[in-house]
Amino acid sequence: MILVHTKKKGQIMVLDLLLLFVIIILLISIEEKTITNYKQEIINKSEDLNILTESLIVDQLISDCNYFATIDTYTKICHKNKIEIKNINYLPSNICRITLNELEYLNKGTVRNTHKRGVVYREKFGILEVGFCE
Amino acid sequence: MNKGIIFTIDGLLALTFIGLMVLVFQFQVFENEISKYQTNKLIGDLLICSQELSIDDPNELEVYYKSLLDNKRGYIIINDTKIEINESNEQKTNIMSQRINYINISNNEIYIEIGVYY
Repeated sequence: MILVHTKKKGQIMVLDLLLLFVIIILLISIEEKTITNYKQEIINKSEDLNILTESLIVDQLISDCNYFATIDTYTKICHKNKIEIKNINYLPSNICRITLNELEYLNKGTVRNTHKRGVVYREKFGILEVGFCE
Repeated sequence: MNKGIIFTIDGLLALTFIGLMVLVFQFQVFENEISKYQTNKLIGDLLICSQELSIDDPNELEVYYKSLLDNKRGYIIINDTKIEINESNEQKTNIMSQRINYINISNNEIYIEIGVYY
């Protein structure tokens, strides 16, 4: 009688241990997946921050008269979004491609990201595309 | 005691799941914000260009809208005329919009509003 009782207790303990191992393995796999996802999200987040930085650079290009924005000769007002292609050699080094209405003004290196903006060029609407290098 | 261990592990599992959900939710919000930021910039571009070019025809502005915002659903209002762009049956209730008022060469006040559904 005592032998049977001890055997049953042993079986329960083995089952309990097995269950514990299964739960631990499950936990580890979930944690591993979580960490991998988290790592991927951090990479994506840094990519998003890059996009924001590049967007601000493009904003500067079309609103700063030292770059593409035009200046009114009489009023001396700098017109945002009204552009002319100038000072190409003074652009930030990570800019690789400049196209305006599909006309290419600059092309060097491999483009990683392209930003599109609406501009006025020679009194007509145009699409300015600025490509950033890898 | 064994019961206690299982409950603890169960609790840990629940916490891990909650943490995962919070992380996923946070990053989704950030991603949407960037997309909205970029769309807002393009709406601003359209409005500035409309003023510079004294556009008062919604159909002309529609062509520029489509070249900049591709197939994004939205609308254009110029004075009392409203046109919907890239209409579809898809239900989108959120709108981001910008508007300007300017006086053109003929001394008429022009009101332009551009909205994009998301």
